[in-house]
Amino acid sequence: MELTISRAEILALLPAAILFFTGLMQLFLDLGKSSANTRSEKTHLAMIGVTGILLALASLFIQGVEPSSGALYAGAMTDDLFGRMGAGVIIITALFCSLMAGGYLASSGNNRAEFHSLICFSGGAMVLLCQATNLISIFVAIETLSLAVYVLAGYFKNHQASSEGAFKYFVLGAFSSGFLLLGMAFVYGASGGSISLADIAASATHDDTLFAVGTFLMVIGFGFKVGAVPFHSWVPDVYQGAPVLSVGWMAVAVKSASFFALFRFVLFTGGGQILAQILAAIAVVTMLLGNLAALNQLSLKRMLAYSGIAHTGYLLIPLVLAVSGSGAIAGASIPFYLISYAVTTLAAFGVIVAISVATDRDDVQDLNGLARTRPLLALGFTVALLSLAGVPLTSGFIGKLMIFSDAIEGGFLHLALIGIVASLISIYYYLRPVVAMWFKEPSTSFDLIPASWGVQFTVAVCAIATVALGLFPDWLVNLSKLSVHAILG
Amino acid sequence: MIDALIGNAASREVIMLLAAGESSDLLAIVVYATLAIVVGLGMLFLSEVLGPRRKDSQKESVYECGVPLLDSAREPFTVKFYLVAILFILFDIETVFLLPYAVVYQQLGVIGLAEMGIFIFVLAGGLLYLWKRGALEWD
Repeated sequence: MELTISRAEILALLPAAILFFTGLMQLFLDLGKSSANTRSEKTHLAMIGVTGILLALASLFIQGVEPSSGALYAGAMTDDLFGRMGAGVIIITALFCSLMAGGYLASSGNNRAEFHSLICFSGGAMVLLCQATNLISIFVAIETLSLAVYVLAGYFKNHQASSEGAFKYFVLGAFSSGFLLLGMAFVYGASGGSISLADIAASATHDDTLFAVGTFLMVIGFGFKVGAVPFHSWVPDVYQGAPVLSVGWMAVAVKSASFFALFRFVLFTGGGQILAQILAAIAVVTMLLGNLAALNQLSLKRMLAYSGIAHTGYLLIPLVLAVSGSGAIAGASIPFYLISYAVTTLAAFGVIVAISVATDRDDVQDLNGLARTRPLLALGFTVALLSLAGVPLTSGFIGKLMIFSDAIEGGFLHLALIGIVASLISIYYYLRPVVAMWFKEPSTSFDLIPASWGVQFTVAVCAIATVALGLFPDWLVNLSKLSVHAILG
Repeated sequence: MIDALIGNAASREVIMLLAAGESSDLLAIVVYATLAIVVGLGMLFLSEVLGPRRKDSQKESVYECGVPLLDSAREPFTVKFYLVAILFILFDIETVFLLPYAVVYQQLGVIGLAEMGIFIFVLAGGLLYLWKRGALEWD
């Protein structure tokens, strides 16, 4: 048996490989340097990161929108459009996080290469997760990204809250990996011993209890990672304790990658009506609890944590549809919503990075009068919050419109109605920072919040992208449809 | 000893019966196994109740290879030991991957060599990183 490797296989692995290599390079270049170095001496780390990430993005675009070349690496991964869209979300998020990381780390006094490298390492693992098509590669990718993200959450090891959050995240994350693995073992058994998703889809029957239990356990495992409600308790504490930039990375990249992998699994295998009913209940509770708990949060990070839980709830609706067998209806909203959520959340976290660098806090009242001192940051944050709330002319509106109309078309009217009510509730807490920024007097003494050009660039680009996707969503919607139909065949 | 032998014989019979699909004869095995457990535990219980006990300070003390006890063993370890243990696992796993590779390296050809090269490179990189960050220094 001679091992061979095809051109398509090398191309498919290239984005992740470039990210891993970039991380290693940053790590080695920083060896033996002090952590207290000033910014100018460490700029090269961010430059290498951005260069590597741009190369990874380029290697993704080389492949274009051609149809998939089938099963690669004996069915371990694929290069289909769905996976590449997921990889694109991850890599673009990594790009913005790297741009912001330089200034953020310099102000934190813990300016080491590890932060940059861990973003690259976990990014590479997430790209692999989006492209993984068998149980083993899914699990390895999830574990690799989790280990890197645990460290990112506890990056400020001398901050008590950061360490506490990281420890909670680690313990619960390891616990959830157990569920995931047990579920995979059941699915493996129920499908007569196959690990490839295509084989599982071919041999599994939805009446099989073992298969349904296995799928449910896997959904629980993924549910921890994305913060669905019975498994959400770590989210607020970790988001509040962890460094802001790690939180931004977790909120966008971990969630996107997990959802892409989960949807791929469900689109392949379905799951049956009982599982769909359970998931529908989880979606309802997640939407309502996320939005209701966010109402009273005065810390911006905590508010965005609960808002993130609520958005997980919206994203579970297409999952319910896919599990109940209407994947063809629900498919297109998934990549679109995740991309829209990514740019919107990055714009919001850009502003929070600037606030927390300036004040070392992240309360809503710290935003008072921001529109007067930093009108562009305030404008970007406003756009992001309106998009998260789902106000028309933003990408968030289009995403929610797609999800809710799909739900009605797929016969889940009650999910759509509850989702709309939950979105209406959410407008209250999303508008509170907007009011603080535009209508309140600056309460603290700082005149000007220093914002690094990386932060300004991120907020500007992401806010523009949010509005642009809201005004001209067609091309991305079509691309999303194309990617999902390629999976369904 | 005898109990263990009985247990082994019993479990072997169960397995053989299960393999032959003769589940109706399993009742005898269950009775047999119950009897074995009851006899074993009963003997332990009886020696606990009936056995004579002469305590003295020497007998009650902790046995440490015949050497007088120094102090309590329940002390916190320094975290450095854990680091060494983690490093050990890292290179343990390297061996776990290298041994099967040694068996099939000719069949895997140049690509297999390249893949193992990348694997070793990443591990060596990790070692270099740990070394430079001072993880190998005890103090």
